[in-house]
Amino acid sequence: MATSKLMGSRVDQLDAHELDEQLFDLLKSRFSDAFKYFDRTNFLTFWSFELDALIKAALLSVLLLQDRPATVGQTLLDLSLVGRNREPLKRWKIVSVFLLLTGTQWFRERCLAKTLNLLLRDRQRAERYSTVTEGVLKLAGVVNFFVFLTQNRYPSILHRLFGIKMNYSQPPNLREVQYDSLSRELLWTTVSEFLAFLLPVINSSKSRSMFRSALRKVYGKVDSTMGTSPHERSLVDFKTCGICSKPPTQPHEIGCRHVYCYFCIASNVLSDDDFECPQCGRLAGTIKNVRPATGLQAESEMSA
Amino acid sequence: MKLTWAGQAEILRAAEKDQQHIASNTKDLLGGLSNVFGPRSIMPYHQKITSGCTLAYYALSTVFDFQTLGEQFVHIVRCTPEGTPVSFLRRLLLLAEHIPWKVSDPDIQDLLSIATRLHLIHFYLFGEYSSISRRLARSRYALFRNFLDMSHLSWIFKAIAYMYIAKMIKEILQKAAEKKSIRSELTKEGDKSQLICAMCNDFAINCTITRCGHVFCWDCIARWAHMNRSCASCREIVEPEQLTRIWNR
Repeated sequence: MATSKLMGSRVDQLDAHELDEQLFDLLKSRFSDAFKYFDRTNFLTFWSFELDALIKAALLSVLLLQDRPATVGQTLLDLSLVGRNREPLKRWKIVSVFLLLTGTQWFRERCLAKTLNLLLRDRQRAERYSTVTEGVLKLAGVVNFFVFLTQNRYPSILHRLFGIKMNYSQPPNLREVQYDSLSRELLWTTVSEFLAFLLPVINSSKSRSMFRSALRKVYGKVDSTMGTSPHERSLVDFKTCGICSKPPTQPHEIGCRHVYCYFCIASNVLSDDDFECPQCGRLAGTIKNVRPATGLQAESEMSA
Repeated sequence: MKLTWAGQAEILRAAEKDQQHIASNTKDLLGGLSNVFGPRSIMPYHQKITSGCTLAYYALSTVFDFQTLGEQFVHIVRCTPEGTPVSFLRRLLLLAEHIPWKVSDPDIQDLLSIATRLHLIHFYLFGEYSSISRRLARSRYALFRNFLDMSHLSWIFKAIAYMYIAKMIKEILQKAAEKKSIRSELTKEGDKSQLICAMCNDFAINCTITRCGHVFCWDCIARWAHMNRSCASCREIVEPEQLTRIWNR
């Protein structure tokens, strides 16, 4: 069997591992979903590590069966395992890699602490040693990653240990990367962020009053016939607030004949610099122009 | 030879891929160290270890003149605008963006953040240099093959850039408006009463009373009344129009 002489690119070697992991997670979640309702006695939870090892063994069995040894992820990226000098791998190496990949996790969870416990006859020290071993392995993995980054061989400690390299089994095609999802995601987050900052900026009462004044310009024939100065105010004007249309509490005015509750007119004028009277369109100006409405007294004096 | 330059999509995807690898290795490094030395002794150095891992990653790839994993993933190579390799000193300069600089002066901090944001907008619009240090080092990215060109996606980044510009303009306007704010006009000119406002627990300014008889500052209760149709003190239903300003002091 012919393998190409071309060594796998670093990112492909790492991605192959990632693909394997994802495949494993997928299978595992499918499996636990399928047996979710049959697991009354927590049988599966109890044997979860054995189950994991079994699923891994099933996935990795392709390593043993193929004449060009590769995991599923490596096959997807056209990679295959070869020896240090690009010779075909020896059988014992493949088998031991298979065993280590399937069994390490299980051994660590089930046997490591117990074995150490037996050896040391001291539970605390055994636990300490097992966490330290785990930590040292992790650190070695990181160091190995940085060496791999510059040397382009042995993506994991296991590969380094057995001197296993990854070659392309055929001349590689330049893989096309999909950018659409990334770009769309970026656009979407920006748009939502943009909206979140834009919406509070829009002055709701202001836009409402602008809309109202625009409407008035089109249909505003009712009020134009009547005068709009405070002197022409009638008793009817005192009965309704020009904004909330209820009997005004604390009647105030801004210089036209309409009367408002103090709350209605003050809150509108404060939030909107060029607030106009919604009835006749008189500009309110600053809060100083909001005065207690007069005229009723004058009228009552007149009548008296 | 004419080079096809990488667009924003490729550069961003490469950076994302790099981040993934850095993150997974930082996690392993922190986990391993805390397993060996104990989590408590690692805690104070958490930030330093993280940035150290990032620096090591870029030092071992960029400075040693390899592609980073992200660049390899999207098939782009680093080169100057003339198409020549980036020299060693310039590659050292590229490292500068991954060092967590500490600037104490707030003015310089503001200036730096504005500069980086303007540069980001420029990158989204034209897609030449993705960071200031790359501009200084004159290090661009070229595509391996012309057919990998993704320039049809650039409209997305243009849209993002315009939104950023709008946002920046708005922020500048907002800062200017804050200076001559008219919001507190009433409070400033308001008169103090002898009664205590139940919300701010001070002498009520522009003393206002609800239908149920509780006393507040005008500002306090008006802000409340916009959101709740009840008295802030006893939850009695109060229409905001019925809030009564008390005029005698």
